[in-house]
Amino acid sequence: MIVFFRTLILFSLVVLVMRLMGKRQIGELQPFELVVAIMISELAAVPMADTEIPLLDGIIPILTLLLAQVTLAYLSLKSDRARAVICGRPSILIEKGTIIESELRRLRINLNDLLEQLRVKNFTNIADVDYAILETNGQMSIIPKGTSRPVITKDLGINAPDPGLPLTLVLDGTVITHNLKFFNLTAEKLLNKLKDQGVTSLQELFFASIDNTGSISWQRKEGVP
Amino acid sequence: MRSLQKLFVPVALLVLLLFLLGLGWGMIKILEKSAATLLQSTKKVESLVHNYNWSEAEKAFRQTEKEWARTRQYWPLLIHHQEMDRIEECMGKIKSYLHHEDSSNTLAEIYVLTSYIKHIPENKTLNLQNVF
Repeated sequence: MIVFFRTLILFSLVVLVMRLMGKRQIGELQPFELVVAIMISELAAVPMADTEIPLLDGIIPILTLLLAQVTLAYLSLKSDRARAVICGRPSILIEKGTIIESELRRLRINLNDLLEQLRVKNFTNIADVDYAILETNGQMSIIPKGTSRPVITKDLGINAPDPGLPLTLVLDGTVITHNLKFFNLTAEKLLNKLKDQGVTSLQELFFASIDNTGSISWQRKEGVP
Repeated sequence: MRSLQKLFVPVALLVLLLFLLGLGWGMIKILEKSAATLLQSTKKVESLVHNYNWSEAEKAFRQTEKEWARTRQYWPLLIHHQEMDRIEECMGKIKSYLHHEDSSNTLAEIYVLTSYIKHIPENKTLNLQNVF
């Protein structure tokens, strides 16, 4: 029973701390963010299971790591020099189609690793790559040569409209009213728009969304005729 | 308004820093104060045992137990529970030795109890020895 409540308390704290640390913490991690994530999980797990340890011995270090992480993130946001020290700088591995051997050696990346990363990014031939950059979060960005990059609508002289942001209007029968406002719609107006397509109530919809042209896509819940 | 928004993160970080430092300092002060009260009470029992005044020593020890009952309400928040178990065990022994008027064992256990109690705030004090 004690463990149950201690787990709930520590879990809530870790979720709160991860939220405060920001979205990057759960996505692509900088080295110091990875360290913080590993340490937090360990710090929470130990007092969670061992009821002999005071809960404060888990809470204080987690809050201290939050303080350290947000301070470093804030400093790296405000100062380019601090960012270089804390996160490092991106490394160019291929420059103008030439592999930079010294950089590969410095980063201890062998040629197979590089080729593997290129394949993962759908570049099977190294000759197609103009630039390959190892970002500070460990991800590799690849800029293909002009002849190898995908064709875009601009190349074809097509003035394609901006896709805009499609918004969800109904989720499992629940109308998302704040999204309706973007299109000057109300639930009644939306229902009126869909009535001629056989929709009698918005609650019968599983999903409905609208794109920037005003076109509405929808789907009924299973079992609703 | 915008300058206030800009200051929000550094101010929040400073508040969190002060909170954590204040919490740590407060914990040490609470432990020092309660440990000093317990030690004072234990010292009284010790001097009474030295004088073979058993009835007064038992009375004084009951006072120590009362002090301990107050202290043990909040110490589990601050220290490892095993350290509290050791103190409880020690106090149980002292109670029994006092009852049987066994001076050498009582004094030996009081010495152990004193070192356990002294060890608790010492262990939490910020110094190089504890940090490393």
